[in-house]
Amino acid sequence: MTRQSRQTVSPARAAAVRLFSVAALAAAGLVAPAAAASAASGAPSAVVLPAANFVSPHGPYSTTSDQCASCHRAHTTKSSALLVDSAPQSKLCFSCHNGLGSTLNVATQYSNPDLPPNDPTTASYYTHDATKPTVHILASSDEFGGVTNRHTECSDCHDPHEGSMVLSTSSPDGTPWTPAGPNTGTSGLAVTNGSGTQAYTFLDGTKQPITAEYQLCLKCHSGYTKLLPKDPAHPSRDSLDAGAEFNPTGTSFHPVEAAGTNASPKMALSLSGASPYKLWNLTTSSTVRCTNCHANGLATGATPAAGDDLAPHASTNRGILLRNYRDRGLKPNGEVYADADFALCYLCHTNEPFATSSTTATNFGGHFKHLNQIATTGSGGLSIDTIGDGQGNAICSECHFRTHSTATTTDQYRGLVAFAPDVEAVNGVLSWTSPGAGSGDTCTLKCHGKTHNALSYP
Amino acid sequence: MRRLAFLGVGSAVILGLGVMGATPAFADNGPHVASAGNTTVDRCAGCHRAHTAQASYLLKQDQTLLCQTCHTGLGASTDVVDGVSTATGAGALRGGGFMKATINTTSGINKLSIAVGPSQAVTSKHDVGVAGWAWGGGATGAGTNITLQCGSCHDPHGNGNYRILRPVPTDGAALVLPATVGVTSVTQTAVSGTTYTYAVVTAAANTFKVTDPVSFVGSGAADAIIGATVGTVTDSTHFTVSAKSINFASVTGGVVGYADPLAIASAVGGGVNVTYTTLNLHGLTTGQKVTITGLTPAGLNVTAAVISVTSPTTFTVANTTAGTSTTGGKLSGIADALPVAGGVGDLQRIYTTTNYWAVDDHNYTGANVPVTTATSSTGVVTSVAIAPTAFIANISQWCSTCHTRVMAGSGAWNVNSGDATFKFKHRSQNGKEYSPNCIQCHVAHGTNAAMGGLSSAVGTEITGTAGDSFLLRVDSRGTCNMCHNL
Repeated sequence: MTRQSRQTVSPARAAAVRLFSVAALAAAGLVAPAAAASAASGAPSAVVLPAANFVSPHGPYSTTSDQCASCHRAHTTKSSALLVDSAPQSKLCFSCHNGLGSTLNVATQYSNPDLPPNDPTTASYYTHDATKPTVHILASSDEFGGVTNRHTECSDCHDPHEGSMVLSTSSPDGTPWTPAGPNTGTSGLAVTNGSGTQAYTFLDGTKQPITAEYQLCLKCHSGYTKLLPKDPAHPSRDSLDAGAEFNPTGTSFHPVEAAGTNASPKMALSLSGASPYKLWNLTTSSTVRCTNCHANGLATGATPAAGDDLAPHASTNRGILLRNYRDRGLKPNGEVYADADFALCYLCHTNEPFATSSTTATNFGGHFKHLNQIATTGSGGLSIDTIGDGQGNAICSECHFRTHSTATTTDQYRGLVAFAPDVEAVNGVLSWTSPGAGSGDTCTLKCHGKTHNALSYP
Repeated sequence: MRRLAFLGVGSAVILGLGVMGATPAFADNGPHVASAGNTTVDRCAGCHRAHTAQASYLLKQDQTLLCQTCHTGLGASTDVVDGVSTATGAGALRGGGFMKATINTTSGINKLSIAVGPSQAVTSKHDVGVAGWAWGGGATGAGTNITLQCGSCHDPHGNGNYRILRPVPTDGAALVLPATVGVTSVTQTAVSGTTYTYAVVTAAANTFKVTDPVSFVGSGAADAIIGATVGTVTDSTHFTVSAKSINFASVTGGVVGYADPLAIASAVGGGVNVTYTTLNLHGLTTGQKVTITGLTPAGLNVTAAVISVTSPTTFTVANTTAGTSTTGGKLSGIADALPVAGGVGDLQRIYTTTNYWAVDDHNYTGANVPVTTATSSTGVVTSVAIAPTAFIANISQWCSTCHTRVMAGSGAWNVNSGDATFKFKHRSQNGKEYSPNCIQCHVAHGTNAAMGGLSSAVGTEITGTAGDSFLLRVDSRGTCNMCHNL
């Protein structure tokens, strides 16, 4: 199956007269400074440029290209890479991508007043922050290999000379999703997977283009770079090796690099079923994009296709998640189940087994019970990182602690089962035995004060 | 707005002296002969009057008009007004013309040769005879307002250089430049092999001018430089210095300035004592280090030498081993660096449509490789072939006499120069063919390139003038694609 976005730029949109702020155009060298000064001193004004004259500064370029001057100067530049505006790069980029020039308004994504600030102390990130000057030099140079060099300038993910609106595709179904047009030409990592091992090769994006979207993400989110140290007191905050997590030789993983291991009929039903937040109509043979989960928060009613322009710039959902996912704060005693707590999951999966007692679309018959019927069970605290905590209905991440994959967990369970730190062992044993999908599974653990000693369930 | 965008070379101004019609005027030939010993020379009267002169330098008429007497297609083969050459096999003048140019500006892809284009009005030019802006000139701001004359760049009496270009652009009083701030002391601090390091012991910025490239290399946190390439004059051999601002711990501070009047680069190599006139030491500040490399022959080696500035425009390199110091003297500037006429016909130096983009070779191939002479420390004169890169390797320094702060070395795209206007810069001092260099992108006289589109058709930061073509060779920003092939 070929998955390709159905969203295109409408003819009316493309033909629309484009409005450029004078200041923005001046920054991009499109109007004389005098005009900008005039605009700055007076009422806001705009230059109206007919769409017929508009040529994208992101190419393609002719042999007598004009677009260079949109962003560059040879001698009178303000920042590295001979840019006409001062650092960070986003200052220049936002001179058009602010809703007045380009139809892609990125500036407002970062200026959203509801956006919480990134908090490194709790590993709570809401943006790939491109609004601060960084040590970025060139995306085509290997800036992340083996070192801690955390930064996100626009050009870390976008090659401004190759931008396009080509959409991400996965064709044939089950192959990794391709880089979307805005990410064409950027650098990344090719990964060669062994059984539990990964070998990386840096791709400079030009001579060696990336061929899959996830390769761009791995540049910073894999063991290729020097990841942040783990926080033993708060495993939920760890930044893990995404290269290892999505290695398809693993037991259970979300299918980024290859189709997943759970092709059971009930998983098929889980993916085909309905939910209040349903967006992606995937199958058990599909792969997913990183940006199917990590992308700008969606406005109400937005219905992008899986291959659409999904950018992980900023989201009010921690983890730059497209929809909310409650994964750290346990439910207090008495709090009832809510679909909205797990809206991220329901982009793909039906909420039926969780909101109702139906087990049609799940291999585990206890989902409804754990999420709805233990509201007063337990007397622990509310941190998923504290052993013995839990006092109410469960949240997904207590049993599916590592959402990407079980590759970094000790027990390598199927079904993305990985117990969170709040789950206790029983007589030194914490285990889940699973002879087969949906039959004969047993749990040995203590959770929310409830002991399961080789407890079997349907 | 009047512009004085770039003092590029590679053009064809041959200053006519009123010798019209009979014989095409060749550079360093015809009326511009640099020969000596002719005590009954007649050519003087072509341009000069002793008592009835109408312009400075005892010229019989305004300098621009005087030059145009021949260089409008009537006398010399180089018509600098319309930007064409009438010589056999010639085409568009590389430097374009001051009124029209015939450069095919429609493509520069892959630097392929292109056919001569139609004669078109220029869209930008170096203003001559009237005031214009030398962008990047002066210590701060966008540039310096100066007045160029033909003779600012070309030596009407001939000097052996290609296109009789002056060793350093100058025109005496006609070239109005900021006052000089001189160096008061430069002291050697280290020697490593044939590398000699000097510290400038003054807080004041100082000014020199361009000849051969010189390198400043920082060695400590106190070092600072304004990213300029500094020249010093060599003897007929090899005194090489080149700017490497990236080696400095700091690239801020310093002041850019000019010498006034411009002293012609000169140096005398008298065995153990060498006096140099230095050029383009832009923004030299306290604590800076100057590295001098490759000074040969050994007899002129400056081992343990002390450089001291004796005037705002000269400094002396004295071999303290010998305990003597010599100032003064004169040498022909960068004659060793610029191709000379010697035995080479003028046609070999006219840019035809087949070599238009080859900004360096001047058709100097095979038997036409130009030569110059070199005198060894023992006085032996030898003939030395001039490498094709000699011209282009020096031309950017030459241009930076006026466009001082535009000059930039490798890595300047990612190094803050500290200058408010010219903060990060495209490399411009590369001495190789098809590499970043003033004349790879710009012409000297005037261009017919048209700036179109939304981006390049509007004013830029330093001029604000819509459609300013900045003496670029190719329409819009096609010059970028000459190398970047996007």
